[in-house]
Amino acid sequence: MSGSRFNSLFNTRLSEPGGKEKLAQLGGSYIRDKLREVSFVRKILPPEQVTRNDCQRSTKHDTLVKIVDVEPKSRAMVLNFRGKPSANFIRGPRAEVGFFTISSEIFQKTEQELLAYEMPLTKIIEENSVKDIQEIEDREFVLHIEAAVQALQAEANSAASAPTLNASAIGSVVEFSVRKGQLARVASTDDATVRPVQRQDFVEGFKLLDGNRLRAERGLVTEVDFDDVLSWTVEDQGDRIQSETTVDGYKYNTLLGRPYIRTIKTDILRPGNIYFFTSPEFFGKFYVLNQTKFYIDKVANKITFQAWEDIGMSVINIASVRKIELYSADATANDADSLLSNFIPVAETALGAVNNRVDQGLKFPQVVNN
Amino acid sequence: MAVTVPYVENFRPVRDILPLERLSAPVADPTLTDPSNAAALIDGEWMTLDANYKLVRACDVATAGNEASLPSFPLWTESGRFDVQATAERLVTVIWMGAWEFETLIFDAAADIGLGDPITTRLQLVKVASITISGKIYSGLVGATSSDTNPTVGRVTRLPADNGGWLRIRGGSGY
Repeated sequence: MSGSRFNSLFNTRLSEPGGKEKLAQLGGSYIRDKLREVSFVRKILPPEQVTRNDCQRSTKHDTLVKIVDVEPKSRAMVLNFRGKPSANFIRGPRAEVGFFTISSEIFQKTEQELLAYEMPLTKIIEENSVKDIQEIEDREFVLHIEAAVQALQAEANSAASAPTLNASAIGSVVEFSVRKGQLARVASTDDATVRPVQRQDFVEGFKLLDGNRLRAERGLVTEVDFDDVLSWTVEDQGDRIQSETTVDGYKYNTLLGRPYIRTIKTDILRPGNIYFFTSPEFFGKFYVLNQTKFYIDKVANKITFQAWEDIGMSVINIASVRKIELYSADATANDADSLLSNFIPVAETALGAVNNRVDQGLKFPQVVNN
Repeated sequence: MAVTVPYVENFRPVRDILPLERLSAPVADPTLTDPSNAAALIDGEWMTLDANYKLVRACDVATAGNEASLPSFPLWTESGRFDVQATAERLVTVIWMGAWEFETLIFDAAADIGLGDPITTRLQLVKVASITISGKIYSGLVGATSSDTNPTVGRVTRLPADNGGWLRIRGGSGY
C-alpha cells in the first residue's frame, strides 16, 4: 500500500466506528534519517511486568512505588564443642523503586495537510515513538549507572563525592569502580580524545567486578569503541580469529568469554565509556507498570496522537556496575578539565539530532522547485 | 493539637487544570526534591527558569523578604513524590501557560515587602517573595500593589479569613 493511500485511509478510518483500531497497515518508501535501535537497558535489566497490586501507595501523594527485598547478610563460623555461635537478629534491607512516565511528544496534524505526504506519516511516527521512548529509557539508565559508579568511587576514596580522575591523577585516586583505560593512563595530557580500546581494558573491567565476590556478566560498549576491536592484532586474537575478523568482522556474541552489548546511541552512551554489569539478580530492577500505549484521536479535522509508558528502574546494588574510561580527562562532577559534556548523555531535548540537511537545501544535485 | 502549615497538600486547583500547559522540567538542585532535606520544595512554592532550562526557586530563600524579580510559576508537585524521585534529573511540574484559579497555603498575608501591601482585599494583586512559615523560608505569595516594579502573578479571589485559611487567587493569562 502506498503511503499516500495509507494517509487517505487513515483519515477515513479515524472517522469510522472502531476505525482507530484498524490502522495497522504498512507501506511507502521514504529516506530514513538515522538508524534506530531498541533499548539496551532491556538487554541488561530485563523488564518485569508489575500491576497495581504489586505496588505501594503513599499517604502523602498519589504516586506508586514497589518495594524490593535485598538479601540479608549471614555468615558461618568455626566453634569448638563447647562454643556457641554469635547471634544474628535478621534484618534484610529493602529498596523502593518509584514509577514515572516516558512519553512521546503530542503529535498534531490536520487531515488536509496529512494528504500532502506520500509516506505513511502516522505509521512512521507511531513506530518511531516506541524507539524514542526506549531511547529515554536508555538515557535514564546511563544516568543511573553513572551515579552508581561515582558513588562507589567516592566511598572507596573516603570522600563525599568522587575525586577527580584524569591521567594526571592516576596513582593518587583509588580506581575502585571507575578506571582509566590502558592508553588513557599514559596520556601526556588530560583531554577528550577517546583512545582505542585494548584487550587489557576489557580484562581490567572484568576484574573490577570479579574481585569483589561478583562476576562481570556483560559489557556495554558503543559501536565506535567496539570497532577498535577489529584493529586488534594477531597477538591479541590469535591467527584464527584474526583471519576470521579480517574477512567477516568480529562475529561472536562474547568477547574474552563475556557477552557484550553494542549500541549506536553515541549521544546517550558516549564513546570512551564502557560499563560492566553483573547478572540482573545482583544488580537492579526494571519494572513496567503500563506497557507502551498509543492514543489517537480526531476532533473535526485535527488529528492528535501520543504514546507513553509507565516504568520504574533502579540500580539497587550499586556495586554491580563498573566502568572503564578510554579518555584521559576527568569525567566526574568536578569537571576538572571542563570536558565533562563530552562524556555524559546529551540533553533530552538534544537527542535525535537530524543527520540530513534537506531543509537547508543541501542535496545533490540541487533541484529547485519553483 | 493545632495543625501547622505546611500541610501534606498546600496547593489545590479550583478550576479545570488539565487543559493548561504544564511544564515538567528538572530542578537545578535535585537535592531539593528529597523530602528529608530541610530546604525541600513543597507544592505551592513559586519557581522560575535558570539559563539551563532548569527550575529554581523564584526568589532567594536564604532570608525572608526577598522579592522575585523574574516571572514565576506555581509548583504543582507535592513534596516526596515517587515519580519525581524516580527520575535521574528530578523533574517537577509547574503550571506554565493558561489561565487558572487555585488555593494555596504558601503565603504570608501580613507581609509588607517592597512596594507591596499586606493581603487585605479581594482582587488585590499578589507577587512572589521569600516568606517564613513555621520557622522555614519558602518562595510564596505576598500582597502587591499596582506600583510594584517586580512581576505580579495574580489577584486574590477569596481572602484566607473567608476561606478556611486558604488564599484563593486567579492568575495566568489575563488576570
